[in-house]
Amino acid sequence: MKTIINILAILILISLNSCIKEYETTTYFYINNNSSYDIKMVVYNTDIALLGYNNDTTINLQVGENFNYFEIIKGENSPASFPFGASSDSVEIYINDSIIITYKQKLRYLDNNKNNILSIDSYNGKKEKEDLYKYYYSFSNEHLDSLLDKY
Amino acid sequence: MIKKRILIAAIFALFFASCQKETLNVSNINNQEKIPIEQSDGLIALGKQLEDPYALKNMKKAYSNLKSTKSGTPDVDIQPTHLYLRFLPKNEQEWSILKSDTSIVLYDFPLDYEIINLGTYYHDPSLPDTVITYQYCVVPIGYEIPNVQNELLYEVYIPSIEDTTTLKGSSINQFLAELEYESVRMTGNLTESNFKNTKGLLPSKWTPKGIITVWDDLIGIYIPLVQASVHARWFTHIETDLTDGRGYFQTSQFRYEVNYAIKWERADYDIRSGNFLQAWYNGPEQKGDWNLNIRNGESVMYATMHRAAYKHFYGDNLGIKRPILIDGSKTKICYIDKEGTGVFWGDWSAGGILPDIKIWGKNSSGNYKPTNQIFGTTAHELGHQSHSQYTGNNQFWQTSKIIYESWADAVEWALTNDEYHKLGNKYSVATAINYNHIYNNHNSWPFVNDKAYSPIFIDLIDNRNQRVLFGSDYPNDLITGYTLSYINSNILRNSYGLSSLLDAIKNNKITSVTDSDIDELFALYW
Repeated sequence: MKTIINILAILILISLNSCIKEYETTTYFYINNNSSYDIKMVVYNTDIALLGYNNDTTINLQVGENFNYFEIIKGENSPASFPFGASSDSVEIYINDSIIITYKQKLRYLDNNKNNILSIDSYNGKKEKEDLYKYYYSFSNEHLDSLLDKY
Repeated sequence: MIKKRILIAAIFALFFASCQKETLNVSNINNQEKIPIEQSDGLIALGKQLEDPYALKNMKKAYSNLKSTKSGTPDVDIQPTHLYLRFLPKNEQEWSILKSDTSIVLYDFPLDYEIINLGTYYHDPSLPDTVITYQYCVVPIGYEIPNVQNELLYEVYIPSIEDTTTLKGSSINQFLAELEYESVRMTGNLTESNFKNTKGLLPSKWTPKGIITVWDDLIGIYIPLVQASVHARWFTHIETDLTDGRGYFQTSQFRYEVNYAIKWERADYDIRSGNFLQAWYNGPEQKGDWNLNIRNGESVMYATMHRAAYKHFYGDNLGIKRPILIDGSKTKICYIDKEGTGVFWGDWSAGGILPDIKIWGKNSSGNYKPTNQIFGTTAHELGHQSHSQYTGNNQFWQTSKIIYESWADAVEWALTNDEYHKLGNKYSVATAINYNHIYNNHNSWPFVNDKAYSPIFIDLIDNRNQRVLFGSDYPNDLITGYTLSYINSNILRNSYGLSSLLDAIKNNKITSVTDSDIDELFALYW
């Protein structure tokens, strides 16, 4: 009897190890406007479920507002590497309807600006659990004032 | 209203009595008004046991009543037409034997009880959760009962012209209708609603029918639920139909009200609530059309999984191998109402230990996933099953992860796109016409940690070159024009890993594709 139970246990263990479990990793992006300016962003060629594929999207962020979305990448421990999706091309930042900067996709255009909203390096974030990451980007007065000075 | 109905019936009865010396017994009408209840997710709850008017003993008693009160009642030997049985399958294999018999309709709840909560699944509370619940069915006399533990609950008589060979002419219909009426009355099941649209004395015959649609998040409208199994049932009298391309169904006629339901099951697959329980949509008990729009909770998930499964098993699956299990059993597709993704168990499940496929309905934030994602995940897992059934189990488990996941991703991508493009054209919705299934790593690869979900098969089919779109660190996809069907038939069987896949593609080049193009596509994979 004990032998039968052992064999059954081994068979069940083998079967459990032999299934195909799909993995996907969800990455949440939180963009907060902590500045004292109302901001408009125009994102070109988004590639995320919320905004659609190959879309140009305008996002208005008034003072204190935030914009959140998530991306799903298939695979284990695979956070999204590209804010607004891999195909996202560039983002124009407007204050008072005047463009103050255009951030470009880092990999393609080598835009190494430390505040580049299309670069994951500009976000604070961490792994929350095995299949969940959260990244935060914040517009601050310091950041926007420096851009307005240049502008 | 009911009093008025009784008065009219009594006047008619008196009128007929004056010339025919016959009366229609209108006593014992159940005046308790039924309160309509809405279907909700969860366990079906049963109320009190009811007397089935179709039970042979009741029909015989009804006949006896007629014979003693109504002159001219013909001499008829009432014999059972059906048996109402209860099976207790010991394991999945025995359950599978029952389920694979498409000539019987199985219920996992008893048919002679009041339903007080229209849930989505049932498990007999007297049985442990780990045991498969009783399976109830009504089989015709002469049916060869499978060798699975069962008991006869009672014999059934469903009045029909074919079974009453001793009577001829119009008197048959009248006699059968009066017999059924008397049994319904006598068992306390006669209600005011049974007289809906009635012109004569007896409740009129009617046809259960209706249109069923399901919400789709991407299109933003209700679309027809196609080829779903709809049941109209009153006690042990059961009729079923499959919805057509408009979501329309129509069963054979009844004279009294029916319990409507959708059983999420077809000949080759079975959708379950959790690991072991049959999924249902339990509709209202009524005498009238059932028009239903499914939008919320677990039911929209079952419906969406059904859409994807139907496309794989019976619909336009773009010419790939259908995922029908070789051993003839139904594919058990389990819905888990929690956060998660999907699982394909492979042929281990054929031994009855585990479900074949599991689909989780919620994302990591605990919200229900959009229907296009659920459709895609179901298509993906069935893509694994199609692959394993095509190559055989031994070869399938020798195949490397990048091959089986990339193939299942291509199946998911192609079938989901095809579904939405067709719906988009049908309903003139641009979002669907232009849909490019987003739940794959086509635009992210190779910038992902887990490279097994690659676009290698999608890149043989599509006409987008990631290198042109995104830059030199992406695959240079110069190839287009392969079809899912061609890859399935000519390339997949010989592909165990990337090297054998490369060889198989080179050995089965289509016009205009060169070895150099193929090497270029593979360059970032080594």
